[in-house]
Amino acid sequence: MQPRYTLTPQQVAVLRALNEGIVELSIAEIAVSARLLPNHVRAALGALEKYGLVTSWIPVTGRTGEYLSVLTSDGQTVIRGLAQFKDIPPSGTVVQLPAPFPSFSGWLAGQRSHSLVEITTDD
Amino acid sequence: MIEAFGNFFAAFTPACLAGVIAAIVTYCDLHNVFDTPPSLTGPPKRELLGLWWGFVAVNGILAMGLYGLLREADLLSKLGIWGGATVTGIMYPALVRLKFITLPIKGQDTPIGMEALYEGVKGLIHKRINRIIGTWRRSESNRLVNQHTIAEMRQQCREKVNSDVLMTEQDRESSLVWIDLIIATEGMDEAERKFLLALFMISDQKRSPAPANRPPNPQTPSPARDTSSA
Repeated sequence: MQPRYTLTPQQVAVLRALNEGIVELSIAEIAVSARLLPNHVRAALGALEKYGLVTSWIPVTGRTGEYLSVLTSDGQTVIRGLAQFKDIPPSGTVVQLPAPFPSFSGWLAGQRSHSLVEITTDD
Repeated sequence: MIEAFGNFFAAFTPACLAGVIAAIVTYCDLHNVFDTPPSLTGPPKRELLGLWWGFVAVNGILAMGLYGLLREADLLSKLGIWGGATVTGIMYPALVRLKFITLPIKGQDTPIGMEALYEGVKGLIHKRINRIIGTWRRSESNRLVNQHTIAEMRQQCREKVNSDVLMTEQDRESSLVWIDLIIATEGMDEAERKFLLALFMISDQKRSPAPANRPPNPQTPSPARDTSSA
């Protein structure tokens, strides 16, 4: 079965930084939290947005002018799946993601999430 | 009258214990997420404190109600009065996420519980607190940018990393490499470099391990700067 998501270590670092931020973070804040350069953060965010793991926008009030990003529920599911790793998982790691909404009836029927995430190398 | 007061006290005090413990858990959770700005003053500080302690108080009250419901349902009898109150307070973050019923919606079994409402309210509170702290963070970063040279900021960042006794050696090395990357990588103007270092100086070190950063190679052309975003 093909992985649903193929993520680089930088993309995982951005996801974790957003998870720690809970709510929206700017590119500079993500760069500081994930110890990445801003252009690497922008590239990672672009890929994560295509996967639907992150959503980004420019607010018209408050923090006007800043590009803000936040995890989606799918992004939070990926973070939960990778929580077993203290560090960035090594390249080639394949992780099965938990079901997004665990339910008692689903557990009885033996239903499991079949989504996989694979860690690859940075470009 | 005295007997009635005694009965009320006997019923209310364990609920208060559950509420206090849940409030402490909520307070610790907020502190784990947010760095409280040390120099925030005026209306933003009052709003921050109101949101912060208001959320803590609401969770405490909800835990008291939850304890009452669990006690009415006779689910805590084996734990005793005080044990049940303690467990309710400690387990409150998990209990509030319990799914009470599963309903078929669009052909899929969908669990229904309080979690959606709780997470929605929590998200609103966190978002508002984060915006207050984020506004302070940016103004404080701009103040540092205006007051220090980039060499001074680099030195202060390195001193902060080297003096952090809670930081692992891997995090320390990664942070020092990152600081030098910010200074040396082409494609950023000095204002952006100083702003990133200022954010680093005023941010706590709570973060996940970073991917291995390599020192900049003068022979390697740096990536073109993306100016399409804000």
